Amino acid sequence: MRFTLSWLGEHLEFAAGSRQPEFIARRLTELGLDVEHLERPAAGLENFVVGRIVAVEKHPRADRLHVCRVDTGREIAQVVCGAPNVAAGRAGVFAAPGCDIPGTGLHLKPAEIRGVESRGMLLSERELGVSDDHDGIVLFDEPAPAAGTPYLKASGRDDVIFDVAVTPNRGDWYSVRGIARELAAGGCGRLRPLPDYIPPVGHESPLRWRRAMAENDAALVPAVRGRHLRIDANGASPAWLRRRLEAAGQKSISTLVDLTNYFTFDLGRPLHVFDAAKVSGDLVLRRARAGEKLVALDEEEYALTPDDIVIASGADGEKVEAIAGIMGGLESGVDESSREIMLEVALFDSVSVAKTGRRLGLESEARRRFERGLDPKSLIYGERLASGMILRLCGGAASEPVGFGRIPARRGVVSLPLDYTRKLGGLSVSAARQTKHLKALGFEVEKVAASKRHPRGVLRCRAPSWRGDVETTACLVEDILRLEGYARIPARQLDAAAAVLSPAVSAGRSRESRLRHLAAWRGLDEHLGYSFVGADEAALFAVAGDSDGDGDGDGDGAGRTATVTAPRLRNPISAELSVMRPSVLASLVRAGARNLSRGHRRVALFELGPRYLGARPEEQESCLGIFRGGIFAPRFWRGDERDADIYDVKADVLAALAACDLRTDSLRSGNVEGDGPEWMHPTRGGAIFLGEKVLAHYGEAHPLRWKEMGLRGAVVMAEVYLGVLPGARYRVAGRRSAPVVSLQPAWRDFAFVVDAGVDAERVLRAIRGAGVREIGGVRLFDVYSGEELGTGRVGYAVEVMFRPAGRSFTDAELEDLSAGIVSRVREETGGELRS
Amino acid sequence: MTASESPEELAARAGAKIAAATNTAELETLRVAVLGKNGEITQRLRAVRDAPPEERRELGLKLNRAKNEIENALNARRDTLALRESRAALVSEKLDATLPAEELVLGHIHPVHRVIEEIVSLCSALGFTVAEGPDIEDGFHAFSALNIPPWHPARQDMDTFYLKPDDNNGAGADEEHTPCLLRPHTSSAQIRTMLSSPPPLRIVAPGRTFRSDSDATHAPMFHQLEALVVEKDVHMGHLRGTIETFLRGFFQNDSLPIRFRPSHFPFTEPSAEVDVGYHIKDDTVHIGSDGDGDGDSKWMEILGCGMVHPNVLKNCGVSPDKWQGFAWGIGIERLAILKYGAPDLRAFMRGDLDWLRRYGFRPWAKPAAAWGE
Repeated sequence: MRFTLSWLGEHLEFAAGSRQPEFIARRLTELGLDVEHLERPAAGLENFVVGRIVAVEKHPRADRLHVCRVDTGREIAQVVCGAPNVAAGRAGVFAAPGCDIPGTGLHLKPAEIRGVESRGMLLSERELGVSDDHDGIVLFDEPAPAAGTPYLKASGRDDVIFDVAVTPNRGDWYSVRGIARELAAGGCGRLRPLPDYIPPVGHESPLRWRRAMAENDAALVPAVRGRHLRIDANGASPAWLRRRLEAAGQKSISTLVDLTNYFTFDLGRPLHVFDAAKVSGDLVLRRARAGEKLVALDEEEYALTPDDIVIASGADGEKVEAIAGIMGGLESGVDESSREIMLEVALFDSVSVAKTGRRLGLESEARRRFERGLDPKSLIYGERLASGMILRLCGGAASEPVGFGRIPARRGVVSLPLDYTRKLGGLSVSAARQTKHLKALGFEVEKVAASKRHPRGVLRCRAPSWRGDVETTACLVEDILRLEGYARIPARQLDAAAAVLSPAVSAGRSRESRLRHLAAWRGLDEHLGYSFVGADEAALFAVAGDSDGDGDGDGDGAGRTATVTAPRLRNPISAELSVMRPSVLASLVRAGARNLSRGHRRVALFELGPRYLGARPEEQESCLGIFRGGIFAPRFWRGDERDADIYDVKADVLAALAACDLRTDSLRSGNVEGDGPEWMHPTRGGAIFLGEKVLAHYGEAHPLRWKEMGLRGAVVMAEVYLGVLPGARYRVAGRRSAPVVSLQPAWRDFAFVVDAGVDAERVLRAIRGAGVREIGGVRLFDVYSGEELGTGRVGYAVEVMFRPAGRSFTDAELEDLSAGIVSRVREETGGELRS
Repeated sequence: MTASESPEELAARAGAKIAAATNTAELETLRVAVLGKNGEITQRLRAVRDAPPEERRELGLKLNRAKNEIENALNARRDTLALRESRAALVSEKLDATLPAEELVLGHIHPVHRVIEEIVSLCSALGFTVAEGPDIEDGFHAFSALNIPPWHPARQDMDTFYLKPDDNNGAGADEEHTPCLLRPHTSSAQIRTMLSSPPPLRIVAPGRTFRSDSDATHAPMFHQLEALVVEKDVHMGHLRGTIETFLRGFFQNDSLPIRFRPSHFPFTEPSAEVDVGYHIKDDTVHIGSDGDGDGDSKWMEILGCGMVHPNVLKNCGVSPDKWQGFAWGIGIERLAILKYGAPDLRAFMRGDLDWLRRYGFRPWAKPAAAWGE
């Protein structure tokens, strides 16, 4: 909401010393009207004065130039001027040497123009920086202000513009009068009364208003009041009106259009004027019919439905002329030739206007006010004042008022127990001051004596007609606090004894934080990706099992067999951000690829965030996504350079699972071989299982998919499905005590040869299975193949650690354990000891 | 060796040779020559039994004394030489300790999560616990329960993202009870908490929020933190005190200027917006008043807050006659920008390594206290 200080002065008689823009701005802020800007459009124009052009002669050596003598109020200055409209006897805007010209940025100096001295300049609007007009110099209408008068004063541009953010509850603040009223209540002055004007009736209205709606729809249009006017002209608006609309951010169009806009901003009273020559029959308020359309004043066509209220004309009210409370139609609008008009002042249901406006996506100043609620009493005074102003500015005569309906009854009473202001607001305010504040805001206040329930008594408050927002006692407390000043509320601290003495975060959240820090320790930078991705990524990272439709679900990461469809947005801001990501990797991969393409040779990223397997709350699941691309180990004097590979992300995954309190030996890894997620290389990826549950996937990016996405280079990724893990829990009691064994362990090495199709994991599990209690560790330290093993055979060298319990192992026991391992491996994998 | 040589002379001669030995190998040769199986002393001791009986004892004693002397001298000299030889060996084993070690490659924690951790730590000291809610919400939790009915202008002002209707698990067009939109604020977590846990409550709910808006100062996804207190006797004074403590603690500035001014939110009444003082120095925004005192302190809006609207309490089954509450909501990225100077909102979600390394945090930089471990 934008308005000027002088406009405010039309409604507010400022208290002594209050007419200071900074003071008013501060009070507005304290009252809840946030002042976003104080604009001084006049900045830079202070030095210009009115100059009377005393004489004009042709320049002796230039056809288009004139030599003028200008009375500046202090001297007669000689000025060379090139404007075609310069004329002796007229008054213009004079800039003396030494001034800066805002529109051109020039610093004005005395000059000689083609041999004639020029001391100063007569300015155009463009040079003043107030418009683009450069057709000629500014000339004041006669009688012009005296020579030497400051330009700002002469032009009325010495006004400060307030730009105020209005909260959506206060429709009444969408008017200069409403803001003036608030300032008056806030002690900045006295609200001037509205003029009590009744237009004289000159003729009978040829048009009538009618409501063609079902009985129970009547509340959608409680009342309409109009007046038929025959006017003399609809030309340009006077300067004061144009300036105020300009300050409000509105373009001046014609007097009638400007007046409807002016009343919208000045009184918060939207109006409409129909060109009465362009409508016939009665003006009918009704629901729109399905399929009806209207080209509105913004020249856009809007398709209407029976949920919308329209104003129609024609013999049967068949022609839609306006969308009620939002915008009039282009066809029946007024223009410069309009001589017969119908003024419309109406009350519409705010919810109905809001719904229609929202569906049509049509913003207008009228809608803004109707949907926030306006003063129903403005039906009468708004119509009278508007009619009067039209007669004043356009001339002509008015009919009697025509319309239907009545102003709805006012809202009921809200009771405010006097001690409630302190209880809710934390500020003690005397009964007298509470009453005073509410009365200043226009409430009718009646005090009810103290009762047992309300020992300090109750104020029964009836809100003024313009305060449709007052519904609760809390609202009254807010009004009282606003007028007292929020700054007066003493700060208090919460009761420490009421604090909860348990961890502030759940074990699950604590686990997530721990994983983030673990990942960062492992050299991964944390990315934070959008929850939505493009359809391509969503498909690529869709939970496997739905795209191939095999329904086996064992590769889907969560043991799900149902088809999973990632939710899509109805109104995305772009196609790249249109589907809820089914995997954290779907957004991580973009960031990773971007960094690789920007020349980073080592990219290691992670994100811990949600994936969305559906729209329901339980289908949102935390995942840890890991992306490693490019170099893992750089060139170094102690070792070879190598790229990140799947064992690097597997290590990341196992570290993460260990940080989730999972014992590594309870986990199993497996090759996915075509069973894995779509993004994964068909034969270079694996999963980590706990029992039958897949806890994580890790693998190389599918090289063909990767290429499809226009990306290159070695990339490995992993995703840990935190939602599938056993729930995190804080350890409440201490550890159970057990003796610490310090007997020396024994180590033995084995070399097994197995068929290449046998997973290493099976060999290792067979070894562990041979002595669950005795075997303390199994380490695979070499993998080899070669002709000596035979084709299709692979050798694993394994170090096994035997951990004694009560006493050290005897040689015989170690022999037995070793033999057990060999036979177990043979049974379970067909592997043999290398001879 | 001469037979006339006395044991003392023998010991002296051997001693001189020992002292002259320059390495342990030479010393070993000497030892064998004197003390070995056929060494001089060994032979002389063996010959004692051939000496006249009256001299035997005397000679034996003298020879044994000489043997001991020589042994001691040998041992002492061996220690000295062995040490010298070891030292010499160490010199030849030299490694260049200045060759570079493998570098520690550390990642970074995103500033959004750092700020959330800071706030959680801070608020845990004030007795708050962390609550959560889903990103995909229904109309009831995101709006209606917050006193924003379907027609309310605020629903439109929030530029909410909606899901395609056929993706709502087929539950049809009931926006109220079908998860169908991305929450535009974390206030919905407030509703879920009140519905699931009886008061008294002190919670903070950080999380992702979404609005269909994208320009230099708006991203379609950002993070908010919602704080809610519901107790019997909390009022605007507690709201003010708690928020002042929170902001001064977060910005680590005891004298941070803070201003409460009236505002409006559908879910609170009375409502307030809170501004903090800032100044601009070297073209950079600094939170807090200017230490030099030159130049005006300016105000910057930082959060919205208020007493929980009685309708919201009622919608969550909490009696407004018995309980009062206050809430505030704050943007996490904005806090990160103001406290740590990360300049561009859009960069937060872009994942550029240079940005993450410049504005991210080392893994050990973890605010203390809140975590139950």
